[in-house]
Amino acid sequence: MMPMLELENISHSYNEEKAILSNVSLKIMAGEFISILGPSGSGKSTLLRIISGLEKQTSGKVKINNNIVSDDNYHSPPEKRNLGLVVQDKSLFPHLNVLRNVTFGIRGQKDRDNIGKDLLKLFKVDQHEKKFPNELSGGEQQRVALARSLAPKPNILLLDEPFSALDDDLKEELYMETKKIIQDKKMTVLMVTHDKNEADIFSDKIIFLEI
Amino acid sequence: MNRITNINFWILFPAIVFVFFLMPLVAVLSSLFGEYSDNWNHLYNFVLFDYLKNSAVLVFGVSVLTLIIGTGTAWLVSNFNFFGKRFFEWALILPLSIPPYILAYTFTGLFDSYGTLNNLVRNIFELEQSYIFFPNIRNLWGAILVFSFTLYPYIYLVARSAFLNQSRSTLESGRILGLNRFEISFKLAMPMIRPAIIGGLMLVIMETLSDFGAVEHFAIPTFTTGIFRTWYGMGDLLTAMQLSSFLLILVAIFLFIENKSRRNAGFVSDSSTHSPIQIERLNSRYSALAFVFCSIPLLVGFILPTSELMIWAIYYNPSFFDDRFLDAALNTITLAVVAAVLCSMTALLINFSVRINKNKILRLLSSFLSIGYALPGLILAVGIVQTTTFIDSSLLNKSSLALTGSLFGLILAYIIKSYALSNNTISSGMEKISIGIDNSARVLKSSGWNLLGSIHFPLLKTSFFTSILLVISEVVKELPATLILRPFNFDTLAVSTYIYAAEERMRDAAAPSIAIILVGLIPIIIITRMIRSSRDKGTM
Amino acid sequence: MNNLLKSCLALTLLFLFQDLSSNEVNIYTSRHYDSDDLLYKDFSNATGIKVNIISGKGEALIERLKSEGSNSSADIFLTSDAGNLWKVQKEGLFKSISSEKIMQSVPVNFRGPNNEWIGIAKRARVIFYNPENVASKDIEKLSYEDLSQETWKNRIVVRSSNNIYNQSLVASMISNNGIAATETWAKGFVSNFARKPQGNDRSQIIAVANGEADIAIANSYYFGIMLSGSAGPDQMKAANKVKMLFPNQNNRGTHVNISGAGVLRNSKNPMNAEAFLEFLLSSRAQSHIVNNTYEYPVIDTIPPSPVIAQFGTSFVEDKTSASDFGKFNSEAIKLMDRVGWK
Repeated sequence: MMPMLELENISHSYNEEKAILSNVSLKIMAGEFISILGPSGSGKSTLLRIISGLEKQTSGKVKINNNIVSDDNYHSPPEKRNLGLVVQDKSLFPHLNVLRNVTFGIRGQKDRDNIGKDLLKLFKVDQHEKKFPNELSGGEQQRVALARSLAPKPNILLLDEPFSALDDDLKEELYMETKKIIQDKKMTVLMVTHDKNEADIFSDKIIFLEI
Repeated sequence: MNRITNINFWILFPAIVFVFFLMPLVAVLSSLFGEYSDNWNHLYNFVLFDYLKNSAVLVFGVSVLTLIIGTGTAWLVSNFNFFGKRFFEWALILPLSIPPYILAYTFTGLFDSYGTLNNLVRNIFELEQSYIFFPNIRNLWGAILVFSFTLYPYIYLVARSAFLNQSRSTLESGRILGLNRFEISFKLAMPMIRPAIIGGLMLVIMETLSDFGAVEHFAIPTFTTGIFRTWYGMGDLLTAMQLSSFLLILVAIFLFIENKSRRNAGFVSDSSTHSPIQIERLNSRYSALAFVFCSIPLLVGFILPTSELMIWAIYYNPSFFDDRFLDAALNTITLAVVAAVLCSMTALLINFSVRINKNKILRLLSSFLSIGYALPGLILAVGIVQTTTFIDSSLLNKSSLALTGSLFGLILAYIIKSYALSNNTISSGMEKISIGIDNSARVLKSSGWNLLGSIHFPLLKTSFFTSILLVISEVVKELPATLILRPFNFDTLAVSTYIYAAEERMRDAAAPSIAIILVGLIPIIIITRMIRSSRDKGTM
Repeated sequence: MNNLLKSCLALTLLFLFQDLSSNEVNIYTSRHYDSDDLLYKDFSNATGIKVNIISGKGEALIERLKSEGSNSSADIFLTSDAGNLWKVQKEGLFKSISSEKIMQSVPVNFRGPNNEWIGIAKRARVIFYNPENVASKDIEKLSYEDLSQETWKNRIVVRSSNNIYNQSLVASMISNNGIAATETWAKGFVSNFARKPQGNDRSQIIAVANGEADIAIANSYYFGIMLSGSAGPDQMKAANKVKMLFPNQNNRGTHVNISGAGVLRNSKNPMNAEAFLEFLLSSRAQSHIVNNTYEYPVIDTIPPSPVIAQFGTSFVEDKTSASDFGKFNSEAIKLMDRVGWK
């Protein structure tokens, strides 16, 4: 079986400074949930940015579903990689309502609204369909962000400390729901976190990144 | 694949815009390498020094006066409470709505030998017809007054902002060291805001040097009137272009100083120790003085001219809505809206391109395009005429289409002049969009036109709209380029006032002048809102 | 948004490009008289040809014609000064008028060389004085050249040297007296100014009426406009206080200039252009001109307006060729610069 995501000797440094990533390699199989654990400054977020295509690595290869998406000669942009990304500050589109936010990444299909509504229901925020992001609480926004990332049925879901801004009790609730949804959909997930507890709850495997 | 064509447009577009901006400049500057005709002998011996002298005296006089008025009023309004302060705070910028040439026309109508005020004095005191009370205004001193009273708001705004941002603790240290209030202001506060003021001053100087309508009306030989006279009077376009190049170089120097000072203005406030300065209540004697000091620029620069214009419009020209006026108004609005939309779109597309490409060259290019505001309209027009005739004779030779004589040249001139305004508005709006939004959208498969249209543009609606309004007000006021580049059957409000004033028909000029001032009030309203909200927050 | 953008751009481009074909005549005119608008309307109504106007100072229009070259859409150049006609002809921008009818209507001294332009109205640059302040013996047989004498110190007003009418006057003096003599005269003339040149011709007449100066130089037809009352009661009152006199009656005659027009070489509508010129010479148009702008007609059969005719119509006219006004225009400007006539 071929890995869903493969990184080969990824190294990265910003502006000739000390390398923030050095020869990172990993393989993730379809359906696996992997956490990357490490202190701040270890390059976790950078790694996700490189995988998503928002940043081009200084050297090394990225392969998704056995296709090279980025190496020294070629760099496919984020819009082509069919990934999902949820970040800490959620980045919901302020001018679109919840439903529009969620269906944003679904191209062309006629039943996009239904797909969106189903996901919202799964995340228990369907009643906020018509509201705008600024009308929701932090936890609700994060659910919408998760729904939005899953709507286009991405190959891989990338999570960058998605729960760290939430209160502890909210976290617990969201952990359970999210884990269930991800398992049901058999999503391949790569999550970056500094919280060991979080990593334990979700992951099949944990990778430690050192500075 | 797709990504390649995407990049092509986003890089190609700024490049094309850059070329269009550059062509008129190159056209004008290339004259420096041409022949220098005999007329230069005449210019050098008889009028060149006049142009230099008058320009220098104008610049110096206007600088001194605007500094005094602008800094003085800003200082009063930022540091003290006195009767009328809340009103003056925003009202002092009203003169910005009146372009210098309109103030010039109005002043002549007021102060000429047989103008309104002299007539009034003669009637009241029953004096002889040959008695003239008010001194002649159509000279260098009159011009200095005109420019100072319409342009001081630039200094006022900058000074006020700088004063308000000053750190209280710095000033209080001065107090502890034994300086009195007066000394604090002059030895500490003013020097600290100097870089910001210099920026404002450069703007004032560039506007003064660019003006054509006011100096021509006052019959003062300066560079702009000289260029006009050499081109049209002596029929010598080449020499006119060479003169224009010299003016351009002069303007470039001031532009350079302004740019540098804007960078240095950063050291003024240290926001970590920032706390608003203490405002002192003035006693009744000083309060009255402050009131008078602030009233004068407002009276001279706004209240007097607008009242006079309204009186003229109502008493002498009841046909405010005659055909000529409506035609000119319609032309002006259409032109202004088209130019504003195109300019704003250009700024939007280029800012977007800079954002997604993160290319240093693109960024430099974008900054370069912003220097258009410093270019005198007259010089732009000269360059654009050359450019359009060149394009017509080379690319469009056999077709029945022509750029020369169409609105293309005029709209290009407006876009070049207003780009900085649009760019500032739209780029500050864009800065408020966090990059996380871009990232999320891109992962969700949105890029290029889709990203611009579904994410950025909806979020920039206010900035875009503001940009349109600001450009409209700039375009409506523009005179020299419009005079030269306008096509058939096409007079604007500004051109109407010029033609009437040239025929000494001040009263007929009232209606279009008022229309221009009304439009000119738009940016004032926007700025006033900002001033009011900054007052409430205590900072600017 | 894409489609909206694209259609906006397309519309704008369409709006910007000029189409050079339809039944019309395009006139570049430096005549700034409102009453001309009626002339254009009259013409359109009678012939169905649309009249497009671009107005501006003569020099500006000429420069524009030069830079437009063969791309110019102008058909006619109409101006109120012969110097401008000469300049356009010198650039080779006129084409000869072919219509016999036109050529026959205009007297020979009002036709340009090669039939490239024709005069449509005449005006004189005369002297205005206030009889209360100026003794009639002082101004008897007055000539322009006398005005440099000491006796006129602080008593003369005239408009700026920027104006083409003054340039043509000085040009005609150069043509008759030579540069050196004219320059000497001009120095004295300028030193007699009561005030720095400002305002237009009418301002000068008003200044004389009010006693600010004693002598003004201005065009004859302004007097007609002021006296008729069409410029308002104040101007009429002022005009009634002054008198007009034709200088140089003892020698070459008063400086006379013409309003004139020609068909441009690159005209896309030459037939319509000539039709317009014919119209300008018709009795209807000539009547309109003399009764609204108070110029003297070029056609014998039309009498000038009584308002202006009352001051005499058989004055001695300077026969200096109008071409000379243009020929010496550049010299005149430089001369005026040298003597400080601002």
